[in-house]
Amino acid sequence: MFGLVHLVPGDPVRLALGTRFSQETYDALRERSGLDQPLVEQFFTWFGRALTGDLGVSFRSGETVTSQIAERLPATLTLAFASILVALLIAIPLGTVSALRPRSLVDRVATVISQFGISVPDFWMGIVLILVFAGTLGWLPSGGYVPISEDPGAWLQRLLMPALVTGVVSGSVITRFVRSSMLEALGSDHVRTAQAKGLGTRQVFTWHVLRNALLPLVTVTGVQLAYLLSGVVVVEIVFSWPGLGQLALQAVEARDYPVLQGAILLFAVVFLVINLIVDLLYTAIDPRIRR
Amino acid sequence: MRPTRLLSLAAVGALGLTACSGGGESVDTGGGGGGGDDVLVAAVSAQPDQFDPHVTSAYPSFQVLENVYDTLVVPNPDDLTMEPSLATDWEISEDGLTWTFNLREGVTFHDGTEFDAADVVYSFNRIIDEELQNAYRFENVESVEAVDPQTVQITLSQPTPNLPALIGGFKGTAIIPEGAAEEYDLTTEAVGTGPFTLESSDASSTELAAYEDYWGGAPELGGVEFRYITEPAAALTALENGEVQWTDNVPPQQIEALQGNEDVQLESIPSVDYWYMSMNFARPPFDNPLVRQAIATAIDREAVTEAARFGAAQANQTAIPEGNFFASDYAPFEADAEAARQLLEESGVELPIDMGLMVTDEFPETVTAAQVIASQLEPIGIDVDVQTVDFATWLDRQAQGDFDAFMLGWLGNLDPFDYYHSQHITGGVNNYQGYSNPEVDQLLQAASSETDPDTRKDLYDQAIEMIVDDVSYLYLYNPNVVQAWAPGLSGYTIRPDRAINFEDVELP
Repeated sequence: MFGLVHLVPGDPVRLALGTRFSQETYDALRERSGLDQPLVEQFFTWFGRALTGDLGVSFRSGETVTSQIAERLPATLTLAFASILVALLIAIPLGTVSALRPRSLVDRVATVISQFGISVPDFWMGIVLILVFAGTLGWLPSGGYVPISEDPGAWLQRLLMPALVTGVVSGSVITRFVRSSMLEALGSDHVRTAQAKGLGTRQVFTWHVLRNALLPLVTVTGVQLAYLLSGVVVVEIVFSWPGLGQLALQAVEARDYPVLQGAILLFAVVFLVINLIVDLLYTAIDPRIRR
Repeated sequence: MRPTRLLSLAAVGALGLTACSGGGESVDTGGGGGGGDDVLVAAVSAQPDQFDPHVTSAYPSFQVLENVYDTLVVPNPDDLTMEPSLATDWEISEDGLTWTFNLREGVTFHDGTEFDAADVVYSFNRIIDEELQNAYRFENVESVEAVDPQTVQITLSQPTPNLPALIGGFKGTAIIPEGAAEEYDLTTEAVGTGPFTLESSDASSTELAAYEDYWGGAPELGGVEFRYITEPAAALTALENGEVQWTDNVPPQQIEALQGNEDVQLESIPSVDYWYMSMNFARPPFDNPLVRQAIATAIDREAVTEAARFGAAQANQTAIPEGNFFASDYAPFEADAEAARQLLEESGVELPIDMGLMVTDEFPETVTAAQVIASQLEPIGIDVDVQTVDFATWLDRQAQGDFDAFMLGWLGNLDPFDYYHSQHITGGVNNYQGYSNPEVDQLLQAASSETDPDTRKDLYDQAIEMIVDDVSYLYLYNPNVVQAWAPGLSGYTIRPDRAINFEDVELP
């Protein structure tokens, strides 16, 4: 990962200095930022510090990488969990209804909606929402982020649109998983047996269909959450949402290696943790896995 | 900029939701909690990278720093001639080598300390000794000395008529208190003498407060909040519904639509920037002057300008915009494909010529301009491959000379030295195209130390004619500065150098 970040063409020193500078200035900054050292040495310095939780200092801002990430973490967490909530509120009812009545009108409408959510570019959806709700109607602010501790009302107002956009996109993906796993469960032998035993529809659905369909749902929700936690660049930019996606993008553009490495490290940890949680949930849902 | 169509079903659902929770309240414009009375909210397109004026080169940082720091001298907002700021006046010795600046009295820094000559010496020496971003501006400076607390003397190695522009053109040469770099973390804190103090900055906005003891009189505003809104549609919506009162995030294609909008006051004035194309003198066939002239003849600058800037620019065959004292009216090329074809024939170069034209999506207008140029060169037998790369790659390839041709601009030019010197003198730090003409070298060298303005203009006029004829740069246009603000906002002056100053602004 370290090598990959450094292999990307582009010189952070030149980017930091812009177009007007002297060679002496270039050399001095290169030395100050440690980029004149051999790559291997840079790696061990970084790795040694990273082990102690010190991710270095941003070339661009001169601030520590940990403080830059910490500053943006609340906004990213807020948006990610709000989006997942929106996504599940869309996906579970929509997926279930269409699975219960496959090829019906309801199913077709649900398919069109989820197809729409997947294929419509998120920046477009975002701008349309801004123009309508912030522009024409004037109900919501056009973007930005306010911490919940500061003003819960303003927090919610600014969260609605970005959460809706990312929620619709994620929800559309999840809807299809819910539908197909429900359909599979509905068609399975044990459901037929349960129905043959004379169990009520509700009981069959809750205990035999839903529970089996939950496994894939948990998996795909975990994947979506991990994706959202690593920052949704486009939506963050459209709604001026100060999340990790924007930080990572700025770091790539400025070839700000310390920040980029810190962000990638964090994303890797997020994936690991979410995978662990998903696995633990599996055992809770499906007793067979516990053995 | 982007189309509007139907809403998704889910969006309609949210409509109901907000209608309940919103309950008819109006949107609060204060935003991040800091916005109280009399705070101007300005929508800027990017977050400042840091606040050390001597270290950063980022425009978003200088948008803020312009209001926080001062320089010895400062460009006048209208014609950009240098006028007093922290220095009240200055004298130049007979030989042009010693400049004596008399400093303003009664100026205090934001930490309460008194401003004097030691601060100037400290600030300039910090830039010079640590080889910081703007060290090149002090190339001719031998020493900076405090004669007494109110007098600073700068000694030069050669006459430097543009010294005021070098040390006061923008806030990159700001005066900080003696010892500030050791005492404060200047990347996040600011200790200036300007009209506003830096209060806080995070990933959403930067907040300034009025400095009551400002030497020019306390500003009318209570403070300024710079809010980062990257998406132009969002910035304009925020301006229209009153969340922000000022923005420079106005794409040129929006100008026409905004001119009739009652919620927005829009201004578009010529800037001191220029955009150009340059060819690699080390790579045949672009080493052939006839080939370069053929290309300069084939390109229709008006069409390029219209496509790239939607009319918010002036086509120009030299760098300095019309109206400037140093502007030249030299314009030898007339868009003519037939004449261009003849020049190519004369050159004896085999056709078709393949030309890679390197542009960067960091400046989208170069991509548009390059496409137009490609279509104009195709009929004369030049196949242009428009290579769009990110800015980091672009800068690398420029520095390595790995290009047939490229496009970019020079921004914030004040003196003809900024416009022409390092770009065209043999071996100049910005002469990436590898141009070398001994006569031009002589003229540029003489002009750089000529103290009589008329003689100086004459020298630059001669140099630019050769630069244009040799097509060292193929000049395209001077873009406009485009900004918009709330109707009724007063005291704001839109400036050709893009400096953003809110000192005298009053809210509607």
